[in-house]
Amino acid sequence: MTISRMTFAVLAAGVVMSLAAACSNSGSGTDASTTGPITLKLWTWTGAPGGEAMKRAIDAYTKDHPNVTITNTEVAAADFKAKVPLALKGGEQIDVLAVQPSLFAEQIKDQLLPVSAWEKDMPSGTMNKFQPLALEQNKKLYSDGQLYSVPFGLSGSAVGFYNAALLKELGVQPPQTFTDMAALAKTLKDKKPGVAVAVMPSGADSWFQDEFALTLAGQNDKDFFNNVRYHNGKWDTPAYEQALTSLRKIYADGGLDKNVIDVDYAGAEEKFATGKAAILFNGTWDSTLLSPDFRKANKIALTSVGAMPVPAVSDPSARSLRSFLDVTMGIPKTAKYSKEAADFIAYVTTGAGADLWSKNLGLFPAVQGWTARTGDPSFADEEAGAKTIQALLTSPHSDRNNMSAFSAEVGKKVLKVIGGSDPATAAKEMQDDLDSGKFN
Amino acid sequence: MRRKLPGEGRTAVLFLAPLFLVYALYFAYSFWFLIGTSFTKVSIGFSNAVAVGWKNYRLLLTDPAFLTAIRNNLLFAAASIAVSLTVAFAIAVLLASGIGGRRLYYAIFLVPALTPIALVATVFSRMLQYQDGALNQGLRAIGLDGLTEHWLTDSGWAFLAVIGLLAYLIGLPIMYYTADLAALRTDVLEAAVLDGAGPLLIMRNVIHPMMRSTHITVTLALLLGSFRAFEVVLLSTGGGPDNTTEIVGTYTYRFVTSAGSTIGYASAASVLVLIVAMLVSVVQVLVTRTKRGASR
Repeated sequence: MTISRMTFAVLAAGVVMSLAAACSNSGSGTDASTTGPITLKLWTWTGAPGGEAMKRAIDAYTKDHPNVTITNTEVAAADFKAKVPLALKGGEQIDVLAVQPSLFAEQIKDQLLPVSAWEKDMPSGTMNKFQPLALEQNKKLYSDGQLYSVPFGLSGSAVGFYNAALLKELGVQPPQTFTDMAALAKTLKDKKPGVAVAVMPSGADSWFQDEFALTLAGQNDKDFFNNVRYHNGKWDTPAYEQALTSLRKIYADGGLDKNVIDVDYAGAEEKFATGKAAILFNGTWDSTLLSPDFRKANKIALTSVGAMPVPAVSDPSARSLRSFLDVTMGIPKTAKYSKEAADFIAYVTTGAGADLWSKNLGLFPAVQGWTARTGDPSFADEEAGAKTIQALLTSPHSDRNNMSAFSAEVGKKVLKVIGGSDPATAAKEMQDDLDSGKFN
Repeated sequence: MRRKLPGEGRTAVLFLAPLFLVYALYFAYSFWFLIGTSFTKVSIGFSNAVAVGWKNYRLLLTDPAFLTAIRNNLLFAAASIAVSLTVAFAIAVLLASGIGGRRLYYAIFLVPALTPIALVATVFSRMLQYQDGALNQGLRAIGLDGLTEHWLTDSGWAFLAVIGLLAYLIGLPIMYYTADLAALRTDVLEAAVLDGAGPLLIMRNVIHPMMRSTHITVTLALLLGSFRAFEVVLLSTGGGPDNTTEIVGTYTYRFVTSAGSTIGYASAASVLVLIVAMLVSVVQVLVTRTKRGASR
């Protein structure tokens, strides 16, 4: 069989064009199409901001962009750090990735497109809409000072959610100090035996004890955590030791209840939701409790919930928390539709999408001018609580830029201190652990 | 004993070879990868690994939490074995003796072993909570308030709580014993009865020694299984308080699931655990061989 020169030329041109088309589809952040139907692949973790919350934003976006379909792969939070790097390394198409603002961000930096590469694909002025503090925190995530993701939502820890109806019934104001807490505990013992003054994730979830101790440490030295995190500062400082000493005393004086330190995360939530604890200490990610709709949908029978800062050991004006970005959004190099991904990111971070996913207050958008609302102004405690939390988040004593496994280790030692161990020895052990280098 | 046919060995090797090859490749690659990673500082993405020599091993061997975790593994295994060789064995013999309601008892003992361990551990953890846990509530209900304890946050009780949980999962040893009891030579038992031996004497001096191979199987299974008692600890005490109940599984898990370049460290921990587990197996094989030799 012979092939004419013309036929050969046509075939060769066809092969070259096919290869060119194939190469243009092979990732590395290039765009395949802007007109035909496309499927954006979004990866998030549970609570970032949650499947249902994100669905509201996705549905609205795809309604406005009929050629776009978005699939949200919601990975269990505990598995996210392990699964994502492997998926990216395996070349999995991920167009939009929720990037955890911790050591994880730096860890996957090389597999993300710099924001400078896709900023032009977002509506003009998008970058100016982010809260300046959020952008500043975002930059701290990457060692080379470039942005590889943009702020999505903020959270902080620790705060208190109180059973407002119960406190009203007892004629008690939300506690401002731990002396108030001890007084509340006494009132509860007399009038509502069996109801704990406060509960928080502990026991098998002792990492939260680290969060709580750091909140108290911030009352003594607001720069404590940032010094450790960013300037190689010491952990076993007098301010931290003092926080541990105070915590031990708070438990001894009845301001917190030693009988519930074996309750894990789910157990703490359950105790508060069923009225067995007057106050729940947790992160601001639990602000969903302030949403009447959320409570109704989840069959939480509490009629009124408020929010407050963690009480002060002495001076109420020192009450604060650590806050940080909870979720940032980036575009991996394995993205197939980076242009559309950038547009979607702008929509959910600074556009109308932010209002939709944040309806239940699981996370607070990092966009300027957004105001926390519970969805029903007739719930005064909830409205006030949402505003309290928003105010706390925007003026933290330090960043909640956690050090992962180290938190869990510290949490166990904090529990040991509550049990009666020496705070100075515990702080020294934590310092030794930090110095060992095994946690980073 | 059946005589071997000519060429039978070669046929067996032929059939077994593909499986052996797959296993050999799988294990060889896994070990090679694990050992290689253990000498680096690297994240789960396995890119930009930095060679750190023996540093990870040095850190591990000087970390009291890791050494406690290894010790706890062995102690939990010892407790599990002790309960199995006594309680599980006794239960299996009783059930095999024709006791009434046997099926119900089998179900009671076997269901926990067939239920996901994560579920059992979570339920136990709830039952042992101080304020609302079923155990303390029960004690309070019958006026024994003084006996209530912080089962999960007091170091000693937390340790015993994990042992209790492991003891609750004795269904598998009971199953092993039940299967082998069915194949026990009845003429020996009949002879013992004719000689006037009572039930306890028969159990201790006749049945127990005759079940030696089952004891070995149970011991080895529990000993090596203890290195995988991950959910039991993670979901009951989380390894606390202050690492009192930490085992190597929970210790390593924290480093694998955390962000940062901790995978080399976790790999080194896994290699050390592998070495300990292999040593345990070697000791076990040597001891059983010696005993077999002596009994011949």
